[in-house]
Amino acid sequence: MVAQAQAVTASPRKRKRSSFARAETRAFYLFISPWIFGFIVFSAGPILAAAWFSLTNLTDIDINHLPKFVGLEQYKALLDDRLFWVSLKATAIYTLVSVPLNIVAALLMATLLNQKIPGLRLFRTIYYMPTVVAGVASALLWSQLLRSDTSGLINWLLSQVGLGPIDWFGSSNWAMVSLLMYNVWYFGSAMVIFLAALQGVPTALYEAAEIDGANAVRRFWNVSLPMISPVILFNAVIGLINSLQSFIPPLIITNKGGPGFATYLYGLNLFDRAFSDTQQGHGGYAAAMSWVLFLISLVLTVVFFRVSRGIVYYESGGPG
Amino acid sequence: MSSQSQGARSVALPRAGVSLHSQRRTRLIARSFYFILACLGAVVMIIPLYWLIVTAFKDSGSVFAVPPILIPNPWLFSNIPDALNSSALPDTFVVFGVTLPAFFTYLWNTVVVTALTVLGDTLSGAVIAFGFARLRARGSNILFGLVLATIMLPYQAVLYPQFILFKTLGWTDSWLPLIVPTYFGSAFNIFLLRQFFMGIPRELDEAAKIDGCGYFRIFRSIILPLSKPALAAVAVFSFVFHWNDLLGPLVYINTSGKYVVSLALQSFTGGYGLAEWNLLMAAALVSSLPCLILFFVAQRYFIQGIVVSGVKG
Repeated sequence: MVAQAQAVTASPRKRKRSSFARAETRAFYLFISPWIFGFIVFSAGPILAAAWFSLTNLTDIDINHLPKFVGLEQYKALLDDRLFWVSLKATAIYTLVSVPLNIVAALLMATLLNQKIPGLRLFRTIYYMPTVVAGVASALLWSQLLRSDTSGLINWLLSQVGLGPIDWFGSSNWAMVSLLMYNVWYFGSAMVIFLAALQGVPTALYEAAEIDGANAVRRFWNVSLPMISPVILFNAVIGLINSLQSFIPPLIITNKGGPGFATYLYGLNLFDRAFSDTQQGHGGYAAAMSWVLFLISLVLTVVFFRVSRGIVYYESGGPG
Repeated sequence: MSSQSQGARSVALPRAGVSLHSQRRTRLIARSFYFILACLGAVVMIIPLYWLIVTAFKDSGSVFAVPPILIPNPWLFSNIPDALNSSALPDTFVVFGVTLPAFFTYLWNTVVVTALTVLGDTLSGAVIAFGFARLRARGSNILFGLVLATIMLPYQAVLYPQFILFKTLGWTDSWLPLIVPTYFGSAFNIFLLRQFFMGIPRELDEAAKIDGCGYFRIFRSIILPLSKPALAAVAVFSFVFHWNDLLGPLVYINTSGKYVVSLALQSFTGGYGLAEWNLLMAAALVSSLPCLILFFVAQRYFIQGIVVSGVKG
């Protein structure tokens, strides 16, 4: 890299511009070469490989025995698999509720904190804190908080106001609710983004609206929301991708997607097909599931961007 | 930014028929109401973490008490060493002939893996982002579009084919599959650093170029020193992500001596026994402590990082 840089500086100044441009192009590709390699080997390659594997009867990885081409058989098996549909449905419900729920919670709290209340920094810290402990430890903690008898903190609190105890992990619906509750605990990261976006809205716009007689609610709908709509789209897309891949919560909190398969989210299903001991030999099937997940996220992201066109407001006049 | 907006909005505009005094009072009431709501929300957010801490110091009997015991009596600080040295943990950690609690094996493994992945994420992110932020070349826009597109590529969609790749390389049951990919840039880090680099005045580059600096010198001597906050942001995000990651270790690591804490917690949950939730919470507390400490020390960078990635995109 150093040699490259010196070559650039050594070239005589009076040469044609194009040689500078060519040197710059070379330097560009040199700097981004790790990404190009990573993209081919860790992203594009695997996705294409998954497409190929999904058309074969790949069982175990054995370079001496190439898997046989079986056409769309794995996909046919997928469509006939009740568990595939069960996990797809659970994931759809989980995503449809958790993404809007987190966005609304984050947006409302950010708006609240943007009202010049004292202690803004402290509140921001507290709301963001759960995000840094997202993992096995916090999932174990929640399975403890949600214990079914009144020795669980949440059930005890509910029973004090006459609403409980609830058998969180005993019923399909409550198990799903417990995952959603766990997830909404992490709205802080989206909230911090919203808060920063709200603080960037020019105050002149609020003043103008106030002079026109707009009350707080109108100002929120007609000034804040349009101005931060690109950020809402950003959070929605990130939330979507994360929720499609949710893995630790159903594994630990609802104990491998229970009760039955009520919270058997897609990521968990895919993991089991690909890696669990009892399911060895389903390589082609797991690859088909990977490819389906890829297609779902691709289609949904495109839909998000399409739908948002005309709703999302970009200050510069175009997507920026 | 915030002080400006606050200053401007605190100027109450008198409306017809409403005295300035009563309007100011309405505002005060509204603000107190908002403050109380924010406090209530904060309490709800903190309760689980509070519960993690108090449960970690209870004796095993009072974990199941009804009503729940809000403050441990007595505080059993010995839970921490007990949890770290539980007989449920199969590995021992010996340094210079001294045997340390078994859990230290996993903590140490996590430290090594996380340190190397943080280095990889930050280093590769900076180099690649410099290319995208500062160097003009044909095709750079299309390539950057591809970078952004991979943000939307679910990790789980490539998990299985990647596993086959690493298995073919003979890298399974090692940390290499967790570490090596971070040295080839992740889309989010590239994006975040590029946004930050773009904000550094180009005149600095031009001046350096006239002084005879090459691109690598510009990167090393101008961009990197000016980007410490953004590099710190990438480093803290990377730390928290890799410290907490379970899926990668679960897929690739089989030998318990190579476990990281997330995997150890997940695997040995059963070993602690149903009645020993206090010990399990003590282990959970220890495992999340590094992230919590990092958060309080480097909070500025967390906030800055999210702001750069989310708002300026």
